[in-house]
Amino acid sequence: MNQKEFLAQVTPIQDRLYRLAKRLLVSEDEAQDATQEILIKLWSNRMKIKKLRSIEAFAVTMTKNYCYDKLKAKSSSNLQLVHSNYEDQHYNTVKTSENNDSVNWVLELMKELPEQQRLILHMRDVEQYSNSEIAKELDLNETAVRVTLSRARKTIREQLLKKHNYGIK
Amino acid sequence: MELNKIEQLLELYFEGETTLEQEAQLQEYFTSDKVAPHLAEYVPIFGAFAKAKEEGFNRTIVLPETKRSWRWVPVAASIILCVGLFLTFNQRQASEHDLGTYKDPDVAALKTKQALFMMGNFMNKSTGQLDKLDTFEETANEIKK
Repeated sequence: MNQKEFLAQVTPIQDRLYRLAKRLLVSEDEAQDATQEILIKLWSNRMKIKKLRSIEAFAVTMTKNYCYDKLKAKSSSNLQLVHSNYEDQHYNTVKTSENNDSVNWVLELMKELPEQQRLILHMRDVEQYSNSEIAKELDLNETAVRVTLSRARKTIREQLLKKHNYGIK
Repeated sequence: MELNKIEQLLELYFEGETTLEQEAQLQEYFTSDKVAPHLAEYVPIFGAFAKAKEEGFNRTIVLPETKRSWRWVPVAASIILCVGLFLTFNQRQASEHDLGTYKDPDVAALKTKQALFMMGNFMNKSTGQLDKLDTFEETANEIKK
Protein backbone atom coordinates (compact mmCIF):
# COMPACT_ATOMS: atom_id res chain seq x y z
CA MET A 1 0.00 0.00 0.00
CA ASN A 2 1.56 3.31 -0.92
CA GLN A 3 0.95 6.67 0.72
CA LYS A 4 -1.72 7.72 -1.74
CA GLU A 5 -3.83 4.60 -1.31
CA PHE A 6 -3.42 4.82 2.43
CA LEU A 7 -4.62 8.41 2.56
CA ALA A 8 -7.57 7.57 0.33
CA GLN A 9 -8.66 4.94 2.84
CA VAL A 10 -7.98 6.99 5.93
CA THR A 11 -9.22 10.47 4.96
CA PRO A 12 -12.93 9.59 5.14
CA ILE A 13 -12.62 8.29 8.69
CA GLN A 14 -10.09 10.61 10.28
CA ASP A 15 -12.74 13.19 11.24
CA ARG A 16 -14.70 10.48 13.00
CA LEU A 17 -11.64 9.34 14.86
CA TYR A 18 -10.92 12.90 15.88
CA ARG A 19 -14.46 13.47 17.16
CA LEU A 20 -14.36 10.25 19.11
CA ALA A 21 -11.01 11.18 20.65
CA LYS A 22 -12.29 14.61 21.51
CA ARG A 23 -15.42 13.21 23.13
CA LEU A 24 -13.29 11.05 25.39
CA LEU A 25 -10.31 13.29 26.01
CA VAL A 26 -12.30 16.58 26.00
CA SER A 27 -9.27 18.65 25.02
CA GLU A 28 -8.97 19.60 21.36
CA ASP A 29 -5.18 19.49 21.38
CA GLU A 30 -5.05 16.09 22.95
CA ALA A 31 -7.63 14.81 20.51
CA GLN A 32 -5.54 16.10 17.59
CA ASP A 33 -2.46 14.44 19.05
CA ALA A 34 -4.33 11.20 19.57
CA THR A 35 -5.68 11.19 16.04
CA GLN A 36 -2.26 11.85 14.59
CA GLU A 37 -0.80 9.06 16.70
CA ILE A 38 -3.49 6.64 15.55
CA LEU A 39 -3.02 7.54 11.89
CA ILE A 40 0.71 6.96 12.12
CA LYS A 41 0.11 3.66 13.89
CA LEU A 42 -2.26 2.67 11.10
CA TRP A 43 0.36 3.66 8.53
CA SER A 44 3.00 1.48 10.14
CA ASN A 45 0.52 -1.39 10.31
CA ARG A 46 -0.70 -0.95 6.76
CA MET A 47 0.27 -4.47 5.75
CA LYS A 48 -2.14 -5.85 8.36
CA ILE A 49 -4.85 -3.34 7.49
CA LYS A 50 -4.99 -4.62 3.94
CA LYS A 51 -6.39 -7.90 5.17
CA LEU A 52 -9.13 -6.31 7.29
CA ARG A 53 -12.71 -6.15 6.18
CA SER A 54 -13.35 -2.77 7.77
CA ILE A 55 -10.52 -0.42 8.48
CA GLU A 56 -12.96 1.86 10.27
CA ALA A 57 -13.96 -0.57 13.02
CA PHE A 58 -10.30 -1.36 13.57
CA ALA A 59 -9.35 2.31 13.76
CA VAL A 60 -12.24 3.12 16.10
CA THR A 61 -11.18 0.37 18.48
CA MET A 62 -7.60 1.59 18.37
CA THR A 63 -8.67 5.16 19.08
CA LYS A 64 -10.94 4.16 21.93
CA ASN A 65 -8.22 2.08 23.59
CA TYR A 66 -5.64 4.77 23.06
CA CYS A 67 -7.89 7.38 24.70
CA TYR A 68 -8.67 5.13 27.64
CA ASP A 69 -4.96 4.61 28.17
CA LYS A 70 -4.42 8.36 28.08
CA LEU A 71 -7.23 8.94 30.57
CA LYS A 72 -5.88 6.27 32.87
CA ALA A 73 -2.42 7.80 32.75
CA LYS A 74 -3.87 11.21 33.47
CA SER A 75 -5.97 10.13 36.43
CA SER A 76 -3.05 8.27 37.98
CA SER A 77 -0.83 11.32 37.93
CA ASN A 78 -1.47 14.03 40.48
CA LEU A 79 -1.78 16.80 37.99
CA GLN A 80 -5.24 17.53 36.83
CA LEU A 81 -5.53 19.29 33.55
CA VAL A 82 -8.49 21.49 32.93
CA HIS A 83 -9.22 22.39 29.38
CA SER A 84 -11.54 25.03 28.24
CA ASN A 85 -12.00 25.56 24.57
CA TYR A 86 -12.96 29.10 23.91
CA GLU A 87 -14.52 29.67 20.59
CA ASP A 88 -15.08 32.70 18.53
CA GLN A 89 -18.67 33.00 17.58
CA HIS A 90 -20.65 35.43 15.60
CA TYR A 91 -23.91 36.33 17.14
CA ASN A 92 -26.29 37.61 14.55
CA THR A 93 -29.41 37.93 16.57
CA VAL A 94 -30.37 37.53 20.15
CA LYS A 95 -32.22 34.34 19.31
CA THR A 96 -29.31 32.56 17.69
CA SER A 97 -27.07 33.69 20.47
CA GLU A 98 -29.43 32.16 22.97
CA ASN A 99 -29.60 28.97 20.93
CA ASN A 100 -25.88 28.83 20.52
CA ASP A 101 -25.45 29.21 24.23
CA SER A 102 -27.81 26.34 24.87
CA VAL A 103 -26.10 24.23 22.22
CA ASN A 104 -22.75 24.81 23.88
CA TRP A 105 -24.36 24.08 27.18
CA VAL A 106 -25.51 20.69 25.89
CA LEU A 107 -21.97 20.01 24.69
CA GLU A 108 -20.72 20.88 28.15
CA LEU A 109 -23.31 18.58 29.69
CA MET A 110 -22.06 15.76 27.50
CA LYS A 111 -18.61 16.19 29.02
CA GLU A 112 -20.10 15.62 32.45
CA LEU A 113 -21.56 12.24 31.55
CA PRO A 114 -19.81 9.06 32.69
CA GLU A 115 -17.37 7.79 30.06
CA GLN A 116 -19.49 4.87 28.90
CA GLN A 117 -22.63 6.98 28.50
CA ARG A 118 -20.69 9.72 26.76
CA LEU A 119 -19.15 7.27 24.34
CA ILE A 120 -22.43 5.54 23.50
CA LEU A 121 -24.34 8.80 23.11
CA HIS A 122 -21.61 10.07 20.82
CA MET A 123 -21.47 6.97 18.68
CA ARG A 124 -25.20 6.85 18.31
CA ASP A 125 -26.32 10.47 18.07
CA VAL A 126 -23.29 12.07 16.48
CA GLU A 127 -21.85 9.27 14.35
CA GLN A 128 -25.07 7.33 13.76
CA TYR A 129 -23.69 3.89 14.50
CA SER A 130 -26.33 1.23 14.99
CA ASN A 131 -26.80 -0.30 18.40
CA SER A 132 -25.39 -3.61 17.23
CA GLU A 133 -22.24 -1.90 15.94
CA ILE A 134 -21.83 -0.10 19.26
CA ALA A 135 -22.46 -3.33 21.18
CA LYS A 136 -19.80 -5.11 19.17
CA GLU A 137 -17.33 -2.26 19.56
CA LEU A 138 -17.76 -1.99 23.32
CA ASP A 139 -18.27 -5.66 23.98
CA LEU A 140 -21.74 -5.20 25.46
CA ASN A 141 -25.11 -6.62 24.59
CA GLU A 142 -27.61 -4.51 22.69
CA THR A 143 -29.97 -4.12 25.62
CA ALA A 144 -27.19 -2.64 27.72
CA VAL A 145 -26.41 -0.20 24.90
CA ARG A 146 -30.04 0.85 24.67
CA VAL A 147 -30.39 1.33 28.41
CA THR A 148 -27.18 3.34 28.65
CA LEU A 149 -28.22 5.44 25.68
CA SER A 150 -31.60 6.18 27.23
CA ARG A 151 -29.95 7.10 30.53
CA ALA A 152 -27.52 9.46 28.81
CA ARG A 153 -30.25 11.18 26.80
CA LYS A 154 -32.45 11.59 29.87
CA THR A 155 -29.60 13.04 31.90
CA ILE A 156 -28.92 15.60 29.20
CA ARG A 157 -32.60 16.53 29.11
CA GLU A 158 -32.90 16.87 32.86
CA GLN A 159 -29.79 19.00 33.17
CA LEU A 160 -30.87 21.17 30.29
CA LEU A 161 -34.33 21.73 31.77
CA LYS A 162 -32.79 22.52 35.11
CA LYS A 163 -30.71 25.21 33.48
CA HIS A 164 -33.66 26.55 31.48
CA ASN A 165 -35.83 26.87 34.52
CA TYR A 166 -33.12 28.33 36.68
CA GLY A 167 -34.52 31.36 38.45
CA ILE A 168 -38.03 30.63 37.31
CA LYS A 169 -38.95 27.83 39.67
CA MET B 1 -44.49 16.44 9.95
CA GLU B 2 -47.38 16.11 12.35
CA LEU B 3 -46.74 17.39 15.78
CA ASN B 4 -48.28 14.28 17.29
CA LYS B 5 -45.80 12.05 15.60
CA ILE B 6 -42.86 14.17 16.66
CA GLU B 7 -44.01 14.06 20.27
CA GLN B 8 -44.32 10.31 20.07
CA LEU B 9 -40.91 9.91 18.51
CA LEU B 10 -39.43 12.18 21.14
CA GLU B 11 -40.88 9.98 23.85
CA LEU B 12 -39.39 6.90 22.25
CA TYR B 13 -36.12 8.72 21.71
CA PHE B 14 -35.54 9.22 25.40
CA GLU B 15 -36.29 5.57 26.04
CA GLY B 16 -33.66 4.63 23.47
CA GLU B 17 -36.33 2.92 21.35
CA THR B 18 -36.08 4.95 18.16
CA THR B 19 -34.46 3.63 15.02
CA LEU B 20 -31.70 5.51 13.23
CA GLU B 21 -34.21 6.62 10.59
CA GLN B 22 -36.59 8.01 13.20
CA GLU B 23 -33.72 9.81 14.86
CA ALA B 24 -32.84 11.34 11.51
CA GLN B 25 -36.44 12.59 11.28
CA LEU B 26 -36.19 14.16 14.72
CA GLN B 27 -32.85 15.68 13.83
CA GLU B 28 -34.35 17.18 10.70
CA TYR B 29 -37.36 18.57 12.53
CA PHE B 30 -35.42 20.14 15.37
CA THR B 31 -32.81 21.75 13.17
CA SER B 32 -35.48 23.30 10.96
CA ASP B 33 -36.97 26.63 11.98
CA LYS B 34 -40.51 25.36 12.31
CA VAL B 35 -40.28 23.88 15.78
CA ALA B 36 -43.41 24.15 17.90
CA PRO B 37 -42.87 26.54 20.85
CA HIS B 38 -43.52 23.93 23.53
CA LEU B 39 -40.82 21.69 22.02
CA ALA B 40 -38.25 24.46 21.69
CA GLU B 41 -36.37 23.26 24.72
CA TYR B 42 -35.22 20.19 22.80
CA VAL B 43 -33.70 22.19 19.98
CA PRO B 44 -30.30 22.61 21.67
CA ILE B 45 -29.89 18.84 22.08
CA PHE B 46 -30.18 18.17 18.38
CA GLY B 47 -28.33 21.36 17.61
CA ALA B 48 -25.45 20.10 19.71
CA PHE B 49 -25.27 16.81 17.81
CA ALA B 50 -25.33 18.64 14.50
CA LYS B 51 -22.58 20.94 15.69
CA ALA B 52 -20.48 18.07 17.03
CA LYS B 53 -20.78 16.39 13.65
CA GLU B 54 -19.14 19.31 11.90
CA GLU B 55 -15.90 19.11 13.78
CA GLY B 56 -12.99 17.57 11.99
CA PHE B 57 -9.35 16.72 12.11
CA ASN B 58 -7.51 19.64 10.57
CA ARG B 59 -3.89 18.76 11.06
CA THR B 60 -1.84 17.60 8.13
CA ILE B 61 0.08 14.55 9.12
CA VAL B 62 3.51 13.65 7.88
CA LEU B 63 3.75 9.96 7.36
CA PRO B 64 7.22 8.65 8.19
CA GLU B 65 9.17 7.47 5.16
CA THR B 66 9.24 3.77 4.74
CA LYS B 67 12.62 2.41 5.76
CA ARG B 68 14.42 0.61 3.00
CA SER B 69 14.16 -3.06 3.64
CA TRP B 70 17.53 -4.82 3.95
CA ARG B 71 15.86 -8.18 4.35
CA TRP B 72 16.77 -9.45 0.88
CA VAL B 73 20.37 -8.32 0.88
CA PRO B 74 21.81 -11.43 2.62
CA VAL B 75 19.84 -13.65 0.27
CA ALA B 76 21.19 -11.87 -2.79
CA ALA B 77 24.71 -11.97 -1.37
CA SER B 78 24.59 -15.69 -0.73
CA ILE B 79 23.26 -16.36 -4.23
CA ILE B 80 26.11 -14.38 -5.74
CA LEU B 81 28.58 -16.24 -3.56
CA CYS B 82 27.18 -19.63 -4.61
CA VAL B 83 27.28 -18.75 -8.31
CA GLY B 84 30.83 -17.46 -7.94
CA LEU B 85 32.01 -20.61 -6.18
CA PHE B 86 30.33 -22.83 -8.73
CA LEU B 87 31.94 -21.02 -11.66
CA THR B 88 35.49 -21.05 -10.26
CA PHE B 89 35.21 -24.71 -9.24
CA ASN B 90 33.99 -25.61 -12.72
CA GLN B 91 36.85 -23.78 -14.32
CA ARG B 92 39.43 -25.53 -12.18
CA GLN B 93 37.96 -28.91 -13.05
CA ALA B 94 38.13 -28.03 -16.71
CA SER B 95 41.81 -27.11 -16.51
CA GLU B 96 42.61 -30.47 -14.89
CA HIS B 97 41.13 -32.30 -17.85
CA ASP B 98 42.86 -30.11 -20.42
CA LEU B 99 46.06 -31.91 -21.50
CA GLY B 100 46.91 -29.43 -24.23
CA THR B 101 45.79 -31.72 -27.05
CA TYR B 102 44.81 -30.30 -30.40
CA LYS B 103 41.55 -31.22 -31.93
CA ASP B 104 42.47 -30.51 -35.54
CA PRO B 105 44.88 -33.27 -36.78
CA ASP B 106 46.64 -30.91 -39.24
CA VAL B 107 47.44 -28.44 -36.51
CA ALA B 108 48.52 -31.31 -34.32
CA ALA B 109 50.88 -32.61 -36.99
CA LEU B 110 52.32 -29.14 -37.57
CA LYS B 111 52.87 -28.55 -33.91
CA THR B 112 54.50 -31.96 -33.50
CA LYS B 113 56.80 -31.26 -36.42
CA GLN B 114 57.74 -27.92 -34.91
CA ALA B 115 58.47 -29.57 -31.61
CA LEU B 116 60.57 -32.29 -33.23
CA PHE B 117 62.49 -29.74 -35.29
CA MET B 118 63.23 -27.81 -32.14
CA MET B 119 64.53 -30.98 -30.53
CA GLY B 120 66.60 -31.76 -33.64
CA ASN B 121 68.17 -28.35 -33.52
CA PHE B 122 69.17 -28.78 -29.93
CA MET B 123 70.56 -32.25 -30.73
CA ASN B 124 72.63 -30.88 -33.60
CA LYS B 125 73.96 -28.07 -31.48
CA SER B 126 75.05 -30.44 -28.74
CA THR B 127 76.51 -33.05 -31.10
CA GLY B 128 78.49 -30.20 -32.72
CA GLN B 129 80.21 -29.75 -29.43
CA LEU B 130 81.20 -33.42 -29.51
CA ASP B 131 83.40 -32.79 -32.63
CA LYS B 132 85.83 -30.97 -30.37
CA LEU B 133 86.17 -34.17 -28.37
CA ASP B 134 87.46 -35.94 -31.52
CA THR B 135 90.31 -33.44 -31.98
CA PHE B 136 91.07 -33.81 -28.31
CA GLU B 137 91.34 -37.59 -28.70
CA GLU B 138 93.53 -37.32 -31.79
CA THR B 139 96.08 -35.07 -30.07
CA ALA B 140 96.00 -37.28 -27.00
CA ASN B 141 96.79 -40.38 -29.16
CA GLU B 142 99.69 -38.59 -30.91
CA ILE B 143 101.21 -37.75 -27.51
CA LYS B 144 100.82 -41.35 -26.30
CA LYS B 145 102.75 -42.69 -29.30
